[in-house]
Amino acid sequence: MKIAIFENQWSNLKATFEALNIIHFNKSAVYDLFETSQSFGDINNIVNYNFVLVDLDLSPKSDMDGYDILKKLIENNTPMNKIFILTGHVNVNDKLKEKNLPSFNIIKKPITLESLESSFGLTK
Amino acid sequence: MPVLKYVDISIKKIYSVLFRIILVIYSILILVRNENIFPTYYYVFGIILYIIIFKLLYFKKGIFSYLRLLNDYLFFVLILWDKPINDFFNLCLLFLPLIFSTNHSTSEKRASFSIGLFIITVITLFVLNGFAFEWTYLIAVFVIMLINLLTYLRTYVLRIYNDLHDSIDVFYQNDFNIFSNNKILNSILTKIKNDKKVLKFFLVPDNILVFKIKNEELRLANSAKFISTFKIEDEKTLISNIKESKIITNTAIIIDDKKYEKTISTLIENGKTSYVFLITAETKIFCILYIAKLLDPLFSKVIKVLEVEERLHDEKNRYLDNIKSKTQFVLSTIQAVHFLNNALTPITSYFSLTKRYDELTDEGMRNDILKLIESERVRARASLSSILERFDLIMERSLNPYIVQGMFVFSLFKIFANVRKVWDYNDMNKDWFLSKWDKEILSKTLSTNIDSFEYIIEEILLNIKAHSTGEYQVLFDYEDLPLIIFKNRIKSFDKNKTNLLRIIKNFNNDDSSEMDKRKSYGLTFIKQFLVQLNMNYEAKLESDFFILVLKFNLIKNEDSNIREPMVQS
Repeated sequence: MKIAIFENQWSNLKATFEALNIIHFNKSAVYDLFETSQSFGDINNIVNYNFVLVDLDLSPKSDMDGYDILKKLIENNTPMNKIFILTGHVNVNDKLKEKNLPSFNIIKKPITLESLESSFGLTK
Repeated sequence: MPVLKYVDISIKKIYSVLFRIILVIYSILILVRNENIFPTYYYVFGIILYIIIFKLLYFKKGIFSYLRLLNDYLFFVLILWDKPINDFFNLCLLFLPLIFSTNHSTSEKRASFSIGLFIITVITLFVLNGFAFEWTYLIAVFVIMLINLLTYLRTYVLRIYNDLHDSIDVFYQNDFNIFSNNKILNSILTKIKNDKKVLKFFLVPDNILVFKIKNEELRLANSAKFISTFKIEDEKTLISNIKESKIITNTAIIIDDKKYEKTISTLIENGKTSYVFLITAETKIFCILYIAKLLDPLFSKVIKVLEVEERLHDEKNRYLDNIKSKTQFVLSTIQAVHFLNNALTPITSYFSLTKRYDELTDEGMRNDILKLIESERVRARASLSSILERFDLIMERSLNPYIVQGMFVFSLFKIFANVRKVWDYNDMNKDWFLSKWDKEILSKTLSTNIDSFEYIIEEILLNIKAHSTGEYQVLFDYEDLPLIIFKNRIKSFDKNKTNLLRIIKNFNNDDSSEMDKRKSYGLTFIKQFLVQLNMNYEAKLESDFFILVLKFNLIKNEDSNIREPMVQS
């Protein structure tokens, strides 16, 4: 299990994701963290991941924000069920519509172990 | 029509009627006192005809005033015919119009009328005196005429003076529109120019400019006619001289590339603030002191209007500052929600893991989760502290976002004048206020909210002042559309370059809310207002200069979507 995570506040989320790894993946899941869009490199490499989690607010150093990354993923024909939005914003769906983007799975912050399990379709 | 003038005309109308009643009664007394050559019915018919003709000519201007005079004297000839003219009682009838002349005729008495009255009185005396001149009577009539002429001059000057002062009353009654006090100056200019009787011999003005003396510089406060640029070669000397002598003549000034050398400048002081009124003239100015004495009280009133507007401007700025702080609060609240959702994660995570720890039975998993719980507890405590700090910040303020209210049609004259007003208000260097807009461009119109536009300019200039090395300029330019280009050399450029590039990137982004998450409040508000005012904009860096370009979307001639446009130039 490989998960690409575009997030610049990983330290806040790390414990919950590690707990998910311990309980459901027997510590076999690999979380690849990218604080900026450019640190990911070639977007075609997204096929190497089972899931992609995208925070809408990335570091100011990032060339692209979360919306731009989502656009790239769609252009790359990444299956929609592989993509998750991580966000602390409200009205994200309205914002997606404004930017002509489809609806995505959304993991709302603050996250809990239960909300992560629910998003990935995992049971206790 | 101003109230005083209306009252004056009404009184003159009543005087005119009363005067004729007195004439008729006095004439009847003469007829009773003397032997009459004609039968009585001649005189009755004469009185009736006189009254009818007077009624027909009543209060008509121009040639009719002379016909009225002729009617009076023909009536006198009828009454006094073949009667002793050296009789004081009889002679008085002829002198009554001379004595009453300032009141008994039209609203605007002319000097020529006094002379006409003199001539007709002399002719009547000549006729009634058996076609012979009586020099004693002539001297008396001449003296009365001279007195009448002097009275005429005095009342004329008073009337001009009142007319000019009425400009201010009329402005308050009819044209009162904040920040359009140029209408007063324009009205004064027009009235002086239109005077074809007395003032034209002393002064033919072309424009009236008002300057405020600020930091020993002349700041254009307003002008009767629109001007783009002005240059006074030795401004400092003018200021120092006028402070000493109050009135200066023939200071050369270049206005929109045209040089004026015939000028009169007067100093008007209002408390600690000093203003210079400069009148440019088309011809040589005479009787400088008389002109200055006539206009100084008027200019003092104009200053009051200017200062009222300045105070309103200050109030508006205070209001906008208040709005700005509230808008900042809305933006910071949105940011705070985002912050809280992130900051709460270690806390929700801590409780979520604790709960799961209790439910797990696998000892290995429990040990691993316990390690996570311990590290998360530290993080949760730190998060809680920062969350409480942010809450305190939110609770300190109230909420009320600002939205542009109403768009109206304005000419670029108004835009230009507003930028210059704010530029001067902020004590920006006037030598760096440059314009390529000609009258054709200035007369073009756009739909905007002038208060919001002024707020944008205030914000831009405040930002320029805050971040400038002292080298900046504004240029009114034209490409496919009119532009205003602000240029500012940024202090500590190398240190700020990365931040500036980020701000510029976000500012130029089409999404108006895109800047909300960034800490660049000045430009955030500017952008929000620009979007609402339907203006195009671009920020960029050229070397160490920050460039901000504002582009105006004009109203096209064929655009018929504007309902009842209210052009305010």
